[in-house]
Amino acid sequence: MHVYEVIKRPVITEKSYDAADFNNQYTFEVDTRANKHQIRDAVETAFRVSVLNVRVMMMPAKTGMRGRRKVVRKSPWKKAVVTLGEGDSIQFFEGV
Amino acid sequence: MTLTVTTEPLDSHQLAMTIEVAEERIDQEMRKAARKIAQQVRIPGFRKGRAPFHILLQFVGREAIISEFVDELGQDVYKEALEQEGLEPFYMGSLDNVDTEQAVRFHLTIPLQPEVSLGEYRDLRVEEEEVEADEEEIQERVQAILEQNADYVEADRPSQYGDLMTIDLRGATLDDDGNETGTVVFDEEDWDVTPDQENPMEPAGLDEELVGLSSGEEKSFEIAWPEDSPSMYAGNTVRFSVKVHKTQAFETPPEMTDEIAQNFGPDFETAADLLEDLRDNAQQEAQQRAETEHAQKVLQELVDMSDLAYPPVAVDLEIDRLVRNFDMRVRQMGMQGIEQFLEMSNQTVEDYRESLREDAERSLQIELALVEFAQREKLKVSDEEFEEHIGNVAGPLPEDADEEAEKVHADTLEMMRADHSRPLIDIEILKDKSVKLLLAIARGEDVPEPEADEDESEEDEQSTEENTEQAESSAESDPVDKEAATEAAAAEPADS
Repeated sequence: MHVYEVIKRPVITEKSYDAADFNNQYTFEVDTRANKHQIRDAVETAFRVSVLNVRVMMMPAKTGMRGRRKVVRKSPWKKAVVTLGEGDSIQFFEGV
Repeated sequence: MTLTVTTEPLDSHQLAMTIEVAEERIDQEMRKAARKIAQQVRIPGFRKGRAPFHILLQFVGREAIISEFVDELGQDVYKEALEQEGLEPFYMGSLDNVDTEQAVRFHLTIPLQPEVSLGEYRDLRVEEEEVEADEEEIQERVQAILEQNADYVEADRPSQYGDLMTIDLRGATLDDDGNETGTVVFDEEDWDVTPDQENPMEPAGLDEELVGLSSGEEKSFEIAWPEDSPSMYAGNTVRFSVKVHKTQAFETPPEMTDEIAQNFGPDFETAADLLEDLRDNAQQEAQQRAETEHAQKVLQELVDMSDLAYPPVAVDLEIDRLVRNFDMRVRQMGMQGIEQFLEMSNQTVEDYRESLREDAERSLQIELALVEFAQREKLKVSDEEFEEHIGNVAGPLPEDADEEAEKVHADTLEMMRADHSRPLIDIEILKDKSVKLLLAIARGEDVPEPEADEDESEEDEQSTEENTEQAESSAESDPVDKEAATEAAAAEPADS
């Protein structure tokens, strides 16, 4: 898997913003197949920053109802919270 | 200073103004607006109102945020820019467009105060034409009175169409041999009849036969009743015999007599009285017409000799005023208002406004010139003049006025004295006074220069010079637009 295939998009929520602001931790949605090493490499190459730590988690698939009966299923996805080295930062929203 | 204002005079006595708002200020405004917008917009991942500014910016776009506050900002900025430039516009500037692409720029057109520089109006002379009542017109009026007094007068001549004839007429049908059958069609004595060419009697030809008969004459003739007549005598031949008793002609009296004069009105004893009165009236009317014309001419001269500069919006305002007046009149006539009237005459409001443009422009010019004139002549309205004027408007209190009428009268006066109406009335009076004074000048009368003229006018000139100097120096210290500042100094405070 190529480094550029690993990171899908930044996760932009209040929570992720707070994490970025206070803890220097940036949150991304990553390919479900990617592991921590790949994510570290991808973030380091893509944003030219040093990564201290990567935590990953699988976000559960969720079902929702569309209309009366139809059940819609969201795919499960992998979330990675990357802690950057001091002084590094990523401008979110550079390329979604 | 957060505004960069550039102005550029336009031909039409307006200023093109560009206000560029400094970035910091825009930034502030945007953040303020963003907080407001954030309350309404749902951005996924954030609770309402919690999204950071730049997320929101990305989400709704810069334009949307700017448009949220641009109107308000425009208002504020407009005021500040005017203050900054020391401008007193004549009327609300119009916003042509707003440039928000990079910096926020407002492009406005600002109507300037009208500027009036009167010519040498004290040398204005307009010959007042001596008017004589038009003799022809008097004659016409005399003729009209005479015609009102026209009556049938016995005429000593053969009858004509239109005469009133008193006749005996007998008519009987004839059989084929020419003998009377005994069927009598007419048998009239002392019959008043008027032969008429336009609306002839039955049978056709009867009127014709009656013409040309003298008083006392007898005549007998035959007329074949037309076949297609609806009458029961259709197709018969009728023998008529006629005897004329008298013929009266409808005549207009040839000249004014005492009698006619007395009939005309109780004030007239003799024909000469009436003639004189007519002549006086005609003279007065001619005089009045001439005076109005003269006044118009003088005013026009004043306008022509002066330099007037005013923005187009001034004309539009004048048109508005005319339209409003007209609307009021139309309503008084019982119509729904101007729309209905225009619909009836197949005009659109725009057409109508356009048709007023020329008049509006003229009256505006006169108005401007007069206001300046009144100022130059230092005309003022004194309290006495004001009281007299409103007294005239309200009319005298009738002798037998009861309490209520008195109260109404007092209320009317009080209303006119009120603060909001007094200035308007003052303007009216001032206008009257100006016109009077101007006419006196035009007549070449010796009009004293305005009071305390010698020192005050010089002082006045000096002070205006000072003003200009100040304006210029301030314009130099603030090198945005020298011309604008000078113009502003020359312009009068707006009352809008």
